Amino acid sequence: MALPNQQTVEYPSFKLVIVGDGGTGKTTFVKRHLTGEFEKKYEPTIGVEVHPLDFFTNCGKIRFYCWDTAGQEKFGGLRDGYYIHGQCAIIMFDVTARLTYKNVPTWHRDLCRVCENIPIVLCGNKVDVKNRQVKAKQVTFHRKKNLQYYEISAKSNYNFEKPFLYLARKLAGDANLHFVESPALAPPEVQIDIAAQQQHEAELLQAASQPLPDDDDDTFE
Amino acid sequence: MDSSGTASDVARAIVAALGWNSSSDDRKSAMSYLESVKAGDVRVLASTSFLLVKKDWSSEVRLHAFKLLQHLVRLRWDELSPEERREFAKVSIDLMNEIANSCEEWALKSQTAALIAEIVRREGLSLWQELVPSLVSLSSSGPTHAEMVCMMLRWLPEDITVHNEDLEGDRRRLLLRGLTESLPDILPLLYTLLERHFGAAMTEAGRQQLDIAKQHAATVTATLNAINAYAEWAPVPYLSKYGTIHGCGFLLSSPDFRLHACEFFKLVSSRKRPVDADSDFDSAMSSILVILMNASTDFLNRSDSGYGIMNDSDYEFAECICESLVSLGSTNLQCITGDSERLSLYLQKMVQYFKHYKLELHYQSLIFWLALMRDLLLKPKTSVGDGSVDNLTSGSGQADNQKRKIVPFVNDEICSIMLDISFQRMLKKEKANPGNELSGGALELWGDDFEGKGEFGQYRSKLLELIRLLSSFKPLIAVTKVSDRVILIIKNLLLSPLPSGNLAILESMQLAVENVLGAIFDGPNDDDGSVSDVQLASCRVLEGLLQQLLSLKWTEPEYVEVLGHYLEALGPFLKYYPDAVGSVINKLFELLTSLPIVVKDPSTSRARHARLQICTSFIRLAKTADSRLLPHMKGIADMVAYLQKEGQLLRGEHNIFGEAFLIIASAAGSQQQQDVMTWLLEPLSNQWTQLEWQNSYLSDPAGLVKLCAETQFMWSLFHTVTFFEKALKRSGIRKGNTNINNSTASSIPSHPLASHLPWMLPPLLKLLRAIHSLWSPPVTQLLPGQIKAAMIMSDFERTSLLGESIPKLPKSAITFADGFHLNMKDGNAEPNEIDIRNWLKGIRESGYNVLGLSTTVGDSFFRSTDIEAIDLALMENISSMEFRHMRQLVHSILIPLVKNCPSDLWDVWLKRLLYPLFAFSHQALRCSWSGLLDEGRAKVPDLHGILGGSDLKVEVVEEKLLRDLTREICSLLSVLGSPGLNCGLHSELSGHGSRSDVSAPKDSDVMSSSAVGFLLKNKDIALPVLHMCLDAFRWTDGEATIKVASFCVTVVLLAISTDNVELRQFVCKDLFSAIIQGLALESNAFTSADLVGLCREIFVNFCTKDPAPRQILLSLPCISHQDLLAFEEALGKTSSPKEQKQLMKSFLLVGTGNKLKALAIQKSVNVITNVVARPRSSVSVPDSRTDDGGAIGLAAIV
Repeated sequence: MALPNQQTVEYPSFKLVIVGDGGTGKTTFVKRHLTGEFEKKYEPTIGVEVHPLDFFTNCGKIRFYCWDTAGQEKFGGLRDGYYIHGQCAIIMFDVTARLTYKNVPTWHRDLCRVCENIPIVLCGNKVDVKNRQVKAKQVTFHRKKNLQYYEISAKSNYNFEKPFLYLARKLAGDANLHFVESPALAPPEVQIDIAAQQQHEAELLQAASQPLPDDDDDTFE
Repeated sequence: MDSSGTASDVARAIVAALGWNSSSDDRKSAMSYLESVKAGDVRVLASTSFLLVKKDWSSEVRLHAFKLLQHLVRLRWDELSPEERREFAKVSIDLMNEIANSCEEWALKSQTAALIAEIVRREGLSLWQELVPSLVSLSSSGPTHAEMVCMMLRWLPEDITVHNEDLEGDRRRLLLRGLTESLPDILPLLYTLLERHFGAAMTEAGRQQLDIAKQHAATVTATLNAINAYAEWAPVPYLSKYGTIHGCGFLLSSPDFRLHACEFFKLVSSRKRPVDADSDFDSAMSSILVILMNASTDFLNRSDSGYGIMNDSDYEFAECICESLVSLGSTNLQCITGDSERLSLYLQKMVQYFKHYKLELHYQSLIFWLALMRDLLLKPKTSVGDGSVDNLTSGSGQADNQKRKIVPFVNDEICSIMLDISFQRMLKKEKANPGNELSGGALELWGDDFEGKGEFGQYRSKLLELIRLLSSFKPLIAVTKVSDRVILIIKNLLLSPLPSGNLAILESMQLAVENVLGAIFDGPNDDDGSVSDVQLASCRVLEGLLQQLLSLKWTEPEYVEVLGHYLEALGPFLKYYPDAVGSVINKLFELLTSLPIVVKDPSTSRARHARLQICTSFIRLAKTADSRLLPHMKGIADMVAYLQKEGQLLRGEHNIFGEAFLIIASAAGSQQQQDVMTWLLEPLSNQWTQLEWQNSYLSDPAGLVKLCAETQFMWSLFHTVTFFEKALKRSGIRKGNTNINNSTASSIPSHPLASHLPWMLPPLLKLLRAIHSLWSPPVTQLLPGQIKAAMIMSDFERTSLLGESIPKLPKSAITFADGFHLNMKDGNAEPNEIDIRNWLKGIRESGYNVLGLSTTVGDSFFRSTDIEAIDLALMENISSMEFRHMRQLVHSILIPLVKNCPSDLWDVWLKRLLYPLFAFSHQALRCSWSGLLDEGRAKVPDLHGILGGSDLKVEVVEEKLLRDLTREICSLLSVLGSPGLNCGLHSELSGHGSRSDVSAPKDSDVMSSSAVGFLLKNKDIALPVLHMCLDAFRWTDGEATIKVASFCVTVVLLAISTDNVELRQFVCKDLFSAIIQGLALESNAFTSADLVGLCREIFVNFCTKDPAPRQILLSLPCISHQDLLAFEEALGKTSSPKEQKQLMKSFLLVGTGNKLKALAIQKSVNVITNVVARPRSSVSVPDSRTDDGGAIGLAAIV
């Protein structure tokens, strides 16, 4: 599934379509893998950009050609054309903007009418933002349609490999497939993040193991 | 009209627009050309598109041409004449035939079907009825034809029942009716296709004609997909009558189709029984039950016979079956309980799933059992005592009837199995010891990589709830099981010492013990002191466990800790078995003294931890065993005194005992409690009140620096403050605390701590003042590096600010930290930065809490505390405070203070404290928010001096700190505006008109009985407060807006009930327009109803008195004078505030051209084809950036 001017690769590669409303962070998400740079300015994608992303699994290397499509209608209008021959997909919404979640069924329908029975991951992005508008328990669409759901945050790298791992497992038909190393160009913050998170979890665990029976911590509230 | 010329132009444009490497200019011009064709002559559009869907073009071009046709049908259909429309439809049907004949790719087949569906949807019933026979005949032309018919039969109901936002109500209903009426044609057709093509696929596969077999298989899949589009809404009896259930049931045995087929059952199983349903519905559901049970039997038999042969797909299928059975059980229990044999079989199956080694299957079934047990035990209330069936059978009504049928089947055996499995599954995979048969055996335990089911903690609490329910249902079984298992685990541990995996099993069971005992002994019976037979019998069972626990001679800290947990878990049992209390207490002391107290090296931190744990066990026992500890209090106190004298007890540990005493004593009444309090506090006050330390450490910053070097002394101050805090908390009036004299409800001198405030507070205020002064720049400059470093936020704090939902650092962590340093008796060790940081944080937290809690003591606080000292301590350096500290100050001190301050003292207290707070915080927030909104970065004082870390993280932390402070300050406002503090105002909230008749009370009365009125009277406070309100509507924080809005309600009410001109002008002009601007932010969507309510309140009450509200509405971009008049007329026609709000909302929406995102996003614009010109979404900008609000035409007057 390589592109016209792109070198073909020896190892398995798949066309991955990323869709969702404008501003939900599709481009940021994909670029995270390439350069690790968090794009602060918002610049709408025009048409489509294709990024080859390699992952190393216990069964060898695989590549996702990520078709990052314009979510904004005024630049699009030809969206479905990009879906053709898609082998897997990510539908992205923004947990701080409810309309982007409300539009998920439409994206799903459009995808399903072009791509036959492909594995799809639903991603709620920007979970780092404190002013969340779509709570985790309000996200139910994936259960109805048998999609996998992940909460992600391009900003803090939270869960960023999960969607790819899920899709890789589905495409390979191997539920035990796993990534053996971090993606080639992963940003350095990833490691720091994980370390911090682990330390943090350890501290929490320790704290939790010694609970004072103070259920009335906020007596005067 | 040269269609073919246009066609090649369009084709070229599509290729250019789609080409991922086209230049941006090429792409743009291609797109604008395509747009022009789309919007151009409708007939050219049609003929061109029909040309482009032909085989000669590439898939991309053809696909887009289909989208163009769909667009035409959806949005420009009316521009064609009826004849043209018929012709269009005919050509489209022919196209379907053509595409089917030439084996096209799936996407094109699908889009052709979608085009037909779109035409039917536009043209309506008459075309549809005409079309059905031709679809039936088309479907018999071959597998691909059938596949396409199925696709069409799938997209059509989807677009009518799900994606129907563009259809108005009547149209939608008509279409749905038409579709329903043709179900007797559609469903049999689908059944026939299923049967025909499944048979053909099998035959062809048998003959090795794989290509043809695949075509038939694709048709079967398409048919199942189509069926699933009806499963959620077609009348259930139809699904039975026309063979759908039967057909799908049959396919459950086919490995290739079973997942799709099972999807059908999953959907139907959760269909609710309609009120008017007859026996057809029930028999259809029953047949589904039978099918699912048979599939379960097949799977479970195979699975039991050895799981080597199962693969992922088998489990995926089994999960789906199990899930369907669960939904059937929860939505359609009546079909199961009707037949007792079936019911018994069903429950057996659910138990089999429950004990299945696969976690997913077990999990599904857990959800079922939890719901069922909850339901069985909820009502009628079972008395825990006998837990027999009789209790459940006394109810009436259908629900109770069902329960009556179910209860006998949830027998001892089932309960035993579920308890066994639940106990085993309390352990995480990561902690299990594979060699040990007690650790889950062959079960697939919960692991961190188990996806989509939340955290282990959430799962475990489900298990625990089930354990609790089962325990109150079958108490003796539960208590015997849990006790046997614990004893077994302990014996196992004793045989093979030190494998940590085994300790993890023991640890995991402690919560189970706690829950079983809680269910049995904390039942409703325990108040009258009577003991039921079951409780007596349980006591006998537990004696064995108790003896086992008491006999253990463990000294390793890890083991001691676990043992301590077990002993405290016995609390509820000890309540009924007081004879054992003494031996449990002795055992706890034995454990405590077995652990070393002098700890020099951090590797033994485990022992410190364990010691604290044992001390805490006394608190827990005091709570759960209630008054049973009272007779032993003196013994415990003597022991504590002895240990302290011998240097065998740390100060922090002593405090925990003190807390336990307060709880024990409270069981004996308030006098006893007060005596204990005095006994405990006296030694503290002796040290605390001495002037010597206050003078040398608290008079200037240098003194405080000295104090920070006196490790032991500084921590002892900390312990005094925290203990006082604990004492305040323990003696506060709490719900359910019947031992406290009722008269304490009002503020009275008899508060147990009232007499202690005068010695506690003055030194505390000096201490806090000294600490606050450290942050003032001239002081900070001169501080030694270590202190400066200690003032900076810890890594832990920053990490927790970054995380999603991390609880605050528990106090215990601090107590913990100091325990370590206290032991450095020789004083050689330099107190390090971490230590000082912890101390500062601890003193601040406890000190603030002491002040806040003191305000609940009432008059004796407000009338005898020196306001001067408070002002100095809290406000002197407010302008140097970090956001996190200011938030804490507001939360812990000011909010309780405002709530509890007597109104006659507002002039003293509120005036003094609120002015500096609001004046400064408004400035600080405003500056920080403009940083965030304009430059993308909230500058907050907290992160000064923090080096390293990525910018990103710093940004997230800054934003979080800013939002936290904003919300806290706004909470304070909402407390100030709360009805309790604004007497009489809120009762006036009603529709307009009524108020003008009532003679207005005097302004001065209203103002002085209202906290908000009081603020407004004081101009210097009013100014920053009102500005903050206006600003808060622009800050993109929904939670803060909710709070500010509630404050504004009071402001508006005040403006209504007084004649204050300035206030009225503020409300009519500034506030009104600020609120409308606030509605332009999506972040305010949650509070939009409140905001519209405010707009209504303002407009309705003031539009005749003040020109501003009208002017503001007229300045909205899409409003004419006529519109406003019409709006006012409509408003005048109703007196219902609800209707007026609705009118206000629509008016604002229309007036701003749908630009008010907080309102607009509730109405989703859902467009079906992606080639429409309307924007799909108006949301694009991240929430915290500002291009959100902007110009809605208000600028002119604001």
